[in-house]
Amino acid sequence: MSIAELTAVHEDPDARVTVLDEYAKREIRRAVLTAVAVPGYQVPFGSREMPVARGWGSGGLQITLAVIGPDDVVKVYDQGEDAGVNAANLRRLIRSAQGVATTTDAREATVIQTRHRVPEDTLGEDQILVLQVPVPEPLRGVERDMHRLRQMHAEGDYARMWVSLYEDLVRNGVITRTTGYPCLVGGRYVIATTPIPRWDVPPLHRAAFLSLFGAGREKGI
Amino acid sequence: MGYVAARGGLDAIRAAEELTRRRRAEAASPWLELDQITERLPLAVDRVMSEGGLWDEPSAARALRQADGDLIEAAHLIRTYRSTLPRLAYSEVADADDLDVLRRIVPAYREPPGPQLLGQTPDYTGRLLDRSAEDGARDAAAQAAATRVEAQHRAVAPEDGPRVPGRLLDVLRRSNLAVDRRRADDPTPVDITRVPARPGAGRSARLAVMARAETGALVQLWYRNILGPDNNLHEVTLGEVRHGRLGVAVRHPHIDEPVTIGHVRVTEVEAIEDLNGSDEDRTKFDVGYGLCLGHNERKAIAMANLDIAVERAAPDDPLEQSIVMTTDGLDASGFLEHLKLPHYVTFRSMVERKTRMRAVADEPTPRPEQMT
Repeated sequence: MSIAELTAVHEDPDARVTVLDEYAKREIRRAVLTAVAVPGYQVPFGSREMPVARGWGSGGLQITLAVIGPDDVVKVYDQGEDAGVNAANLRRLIRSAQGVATTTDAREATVIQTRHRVPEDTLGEDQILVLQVPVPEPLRGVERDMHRLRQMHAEGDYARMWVSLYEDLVRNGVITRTTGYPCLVGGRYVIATTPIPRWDVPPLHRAAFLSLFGAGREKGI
Repeated sequence: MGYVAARGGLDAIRAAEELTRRRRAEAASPWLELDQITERLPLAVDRVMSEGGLWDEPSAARALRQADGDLIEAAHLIRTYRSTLPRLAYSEVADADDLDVLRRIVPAYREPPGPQLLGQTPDYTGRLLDRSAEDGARDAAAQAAATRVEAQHRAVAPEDGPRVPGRLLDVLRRSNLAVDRRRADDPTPVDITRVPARPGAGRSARLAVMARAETGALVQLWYRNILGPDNNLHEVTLGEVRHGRLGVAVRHPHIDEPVTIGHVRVTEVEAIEDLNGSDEDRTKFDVGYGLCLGHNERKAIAMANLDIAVERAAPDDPLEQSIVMTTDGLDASGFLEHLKLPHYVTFRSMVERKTRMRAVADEPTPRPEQMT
């Protein structure tokens, strides 16, 4: 096979807007499978540069593009808004890249990409929630060094997180964490729940739907 | 909660795009051609290729034009283009000793192996803004080109064949003055586009990160270690500063032999550090390495200096994490600019906590069941 033959398919002018090559999608799906198998563990992956900037939902976008097929119906919303500018932009991008149907009704969607909210509708087992994650590391507030962070996760050593919550409660009378409330998943890994507000955290507990967290800039799923 | 979510939506986005298109269409001057950009703004093109991580001058020029001259945006376009392309093969390891130099200076040594070749540089040209009339400036440039210095011309003429000088480092090695840092624990260069670079990822990953890093980020980190609160750089002398052409070979799928498929221009720097730590071999020097696509000496020098600084730093020094995690231009700029996105819910949840805190503080004796 020649180089020309190998690249020909990628230069088809009639093809849809290409955002991610198929090998990348496969790589991301494999990372997603690992992440599902080890809940709460942050799986590193070769995060690609997307048409939206890092920090603008590039991680969620990569997951959505990797997991959807032609029959999917996609909802994208941002801080609870379907009409928000970034949601509209991402929805347009996903539609032009994958040719899928889109919706604003969470109940109709098979894949819901969200920034910082969890739908208030009850979702079912056949639905996937893709969360855009700006800061995936829950322990960064108590430890800056990445070697030590990795060690703390490996050993399940979350003492300093517990202490920080305790001190917060003692000093302020309430836990002042607003978004990204730390959660222990399946008794093993602590995760940051993206910056969803704390009132959106309970619906994630033993949810029927699958929640996938994509951090593009920090290259983790 | 009293916040009205400002809706922009698709119409506003389309209108913003239309404004950009209209400004381009209505500009009075002629459309910039790609060869004008590659020939007239070559250093900007080189920066986009280096920070974008792709060697292709026309694509970089196209990106620069589309990005209205914004280097980070242009690098973003190049990286995004890369994301659409399948990875079909890796090139063979290129030996930098084969670099065909266009410019080469050795600040550390008057008579190194091979020539000192000043080449093209503004280093010794007075930075005076040429305010002569356009016509006069063009005539002067044409005249200068007609009477060009013969030696300069010969330095870059292809008929001379490749110019591949030796290295000062070889002299130091022969004199047993250099620490041998060639090592076996990092044999295959880490592909940082497939395996995210994290602290501890190894030297090849760190070098790859810096090769794609934003120039200003590396310069800032370098200077921070000279004059700022960090203090990892002391007596660095440059051994080599080179700009030249390097062949790129891939293994042919049929005949299974390396075939040169093209050339890239790179800037290469070796930075010699005086080992003066109490636990270091004071009788020797150590050398840091920098190499990036295109002509960008500022970047390659900062890279070489930071490379050796990390090698010498204490294991718990934050420098490695700073380099690996904070120097990518797209990561930093994208995250900074994401602050422009609506944060209505995020902010509302902050207000909610403050209100709750105040409510709890106003209660005479908060009981545990209220502490939620």
